[in-house]
Amino acid sequence: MTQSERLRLDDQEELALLRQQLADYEAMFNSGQIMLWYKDLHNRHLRVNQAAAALDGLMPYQMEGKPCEEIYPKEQAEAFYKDDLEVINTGEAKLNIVEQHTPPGKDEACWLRVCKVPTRDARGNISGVLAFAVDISEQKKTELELAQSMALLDSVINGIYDPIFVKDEQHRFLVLNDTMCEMMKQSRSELLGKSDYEFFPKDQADIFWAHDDLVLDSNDVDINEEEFTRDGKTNTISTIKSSFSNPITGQRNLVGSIRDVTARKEAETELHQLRTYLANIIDSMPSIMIGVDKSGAVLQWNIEAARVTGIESSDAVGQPLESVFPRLAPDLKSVNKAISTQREVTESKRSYQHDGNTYFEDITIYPLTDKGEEGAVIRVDDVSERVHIEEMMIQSEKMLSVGGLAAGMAHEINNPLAGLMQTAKVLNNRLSLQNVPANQVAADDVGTDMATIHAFMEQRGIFRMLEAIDESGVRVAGIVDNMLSFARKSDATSSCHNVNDLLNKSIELSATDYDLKKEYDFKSIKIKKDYAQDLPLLPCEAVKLQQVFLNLFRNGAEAMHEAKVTQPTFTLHSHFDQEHDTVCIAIEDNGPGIDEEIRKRIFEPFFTTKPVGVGTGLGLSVSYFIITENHGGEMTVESELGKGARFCIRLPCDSNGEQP
Amino acid sequence: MNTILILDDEYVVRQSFVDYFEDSLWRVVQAETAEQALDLLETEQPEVAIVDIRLPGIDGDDFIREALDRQKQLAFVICSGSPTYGVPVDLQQQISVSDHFFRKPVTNFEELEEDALRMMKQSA
Repeated sequence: MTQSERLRLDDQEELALLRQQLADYEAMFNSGQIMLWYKDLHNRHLRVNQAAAALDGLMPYQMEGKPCEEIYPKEQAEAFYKDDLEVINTGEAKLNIVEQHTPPGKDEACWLRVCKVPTRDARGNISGVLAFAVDISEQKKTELELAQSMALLDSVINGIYDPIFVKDEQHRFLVLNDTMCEMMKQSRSELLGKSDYEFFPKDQADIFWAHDDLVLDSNDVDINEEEFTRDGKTNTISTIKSSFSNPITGQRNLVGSIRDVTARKEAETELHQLRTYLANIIDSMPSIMIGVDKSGAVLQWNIEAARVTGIESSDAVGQPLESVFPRLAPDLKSVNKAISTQREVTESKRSYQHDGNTYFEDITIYPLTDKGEEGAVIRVDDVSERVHIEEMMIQSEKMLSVGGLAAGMAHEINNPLAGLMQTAKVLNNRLSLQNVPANQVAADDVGTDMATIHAFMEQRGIFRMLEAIDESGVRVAGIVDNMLSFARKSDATSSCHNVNDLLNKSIELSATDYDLKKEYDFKSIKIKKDYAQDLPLLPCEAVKLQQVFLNLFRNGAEAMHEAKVTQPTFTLHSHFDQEHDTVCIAIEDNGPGIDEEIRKRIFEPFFTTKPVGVGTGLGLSVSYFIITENHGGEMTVESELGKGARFCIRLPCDSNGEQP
Repeated sequence: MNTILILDDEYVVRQSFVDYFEDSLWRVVQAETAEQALDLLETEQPEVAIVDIRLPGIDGDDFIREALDRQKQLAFVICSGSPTYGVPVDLQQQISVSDHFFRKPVTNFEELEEDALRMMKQSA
C-alpha cells in the first residue's frame, strides 16, 4: 500500500470517524435541556438546538441562518448582541449572565442563565459566540419568594422597637434588627458573626453567655434583668431569650429581645423612695397616726403607734382597730361620721387611766378618699403635759386674782379688825386684876373691888369669851396675811441655804407645833431621810420655804393620823438635777392618798377637805404660790389612793423667780 | 406724866389706843386727821406720836415730815393696816422715826408701848 493509498485509507477512516463524531455531536447538541446556539460575528444564528428554539416556540431551522433582529424585537436583539460583542472583543468567556427573556409572541418572561464563549476558526481567530443557557425561572421564582420573605422578616423585626437578635451555638450574631444595631452603636456588618466579647467587658459578656447557654441547652425561656453600661450611662435592660432549631443549618440558635426598662426601674425606685419618704415623715410625727379603712381595719401604723401599743406595724396592719388599740374602739363611730360627712372629727382632752395615772389625749380623725377607697387617719396626741400646765396656769391665775383682791381688801379688813381686837384687849385689861389704877378708882366709885369683879367675870366665862374674840381675830388676820402672800410683790430678800437643813429645821418646828396643839404626837411619825449630800446652796427665802415644808408636814401628819396609819412615815428626798441646775425635793407620806378629783384642785385657794373652821383652805395654795411665783419653781403632787401622797418641789438655782 | 399723840381716822381703833395708854398712865391727846394733829401741836407738846398712814387729807408720812420741822423733840411710831405700805426712805433715815413698823391689828400693846418709850428716850 502506497503512501497515498495509506493516506486515502486513513482519510476514509478519519472521515468515517468524523462523521460518527458529527452525528454524536448533533445528537448531543439537540438532546437535553441545555439550550445551545452559536452565532457569527454579526449576531446571526448559525446553529440553534431544539431546546433553544423550543423556548421561543420555534424549530431550529426557523432560526438558523437568520440574524437576531428577524426573530426578536430590535431592542432585545441589540441587548443580546451587546453581550456577544463583549465576548468577541475581549476573547474571554462571559459566564452566568442572568437575563430575563420574553419569547416572541408571549407575555410571560422567563429567566435564563447564559454562558457565552468565543468560537475560533482554524487559524485561531474569533469567529463567533457559542452560548449555553439554562432556564432558571423556577429557581428565580424561589429566590424572589425567599427575598420577599426575607424582606418581610427584615421589615417586621426592624419595625419592632425592641432590639432583637439571633445568635448561633457559638454565640455569634446571625440576625440583628436596626434597634439592636443602634443600641450596640455598631453597624450591622460590624456585628454579624461576632460575639459579645468583642463589644462588652469580659464580666458583662460572661453573664450574657451564661444566659445564652441556659436557653441553648433547653427549651426554656430565660428572662433576665441586667445592668447595661454604655457611654458611662447605666440602663437596666430586660432580655428574653429562647432557642430554636435553625432549619437551614440544623444548629440550635437563640433569639433574644431586649426591653429597656430603665424608665420603669427609675419610676419604681422613685415610687419606693417616695413611699419611704412619706413613711419616714409619718414615723417622725410625735403623734400616733393610724390609717384605717371603712371597716376599721388598720392600713397604716406609725412608729409612735407601735411604741405606745407595743405592737409592730407588720402585726397591726390588717387587724381590726379595736383589737390592736382597744382604747380607740369607741372612735370607729367617729371614723364613719368623718367619712360620711367628709369633715374631720376632733375630740379634745379625752382622759384615760393607765397604771393608776390619768392621761389626756386629743383625737383627730381625718377622712380620706382615694379613688373611691374610703378610709380615715386617726391622730392621737398625748396632751397630758399641756393639760397639766393649763391646770397650773389656771391655778396661778386664780391665786394672783386672790392676791390682788386681798391687797385691796386687807386695809379695809385690818382696820375694823384692829378696832375689834384692840378693844377686846383693853377690855380684858380693864376687867382683869392687872395693876391698872383707873380700874381701882372706878371700882371704888361703884362700891365694889376688882377682886369681886374679876371673880364674877371668871365665873361667867367672860375671859374665855374675850379670848374667843381674840382667837377669831387672829384667824381672820392670818387669812388676810395668807391671801396677801398671793400678791406678786415680795419684800423679803433671798439668801443661800442648804435645803437639807431647811427640811430638818421644819421637821423640828413641826414636832413642837404638834406637841402643843394636837392630841397626837408628831414625834411618833417615823422620818426617813434620803438626802443628797452634794446639794448646792439654794438662793431662796428660807422662812417661806419652811412655811411650805411645815404645811406639807402638817397636812401629811393629819392625813396619816385620820387614816389611822399604823406606822406613819414621812420619806424626805433631795437631789440635785445638774442638767437643769435645779434642786429637787420630794416629801412622801404613807397616808390614805389623794383621790383624782381632789388632786386636781388641791392647790386651789380656799379648797379644803377639812371641816369648816378647821383650815383656811389656803395652806397648799400658798405653798404652791411660794414655790412657783416666789421661787420660779415647780410643785406637783402624785398620789395613788391608799398608797400615800408624794409632793415634788423643784427649785431652780439660777433664778429667784420673783417677777416684777 | 408722858404725853402721847394718837393720830388715827378710825374712831374705834383710835379709842382702843387711847384707852390702853390712859390705863397705862399716859397723858393722851388724839386727832382724827393730820391737819387736826398739826393744830394740836400748836398747843400741846407730846413726846411721842402713834401715826396711822392712810388718812383723809394729809397722809401720815407728810404729817411726820411737817411735824418734824415744828417739834424736834417729837418721836414717831408708825402703825398702819395697809399691807403694801413701806416706810419711805427719808423717814427711815430720821432718828426720831421708829424702825419698828406696827401692822394693824396690834395684838401686843405692850410691845407698842415699849417701843414708844424707847423712841421717847431716844429723841429726848
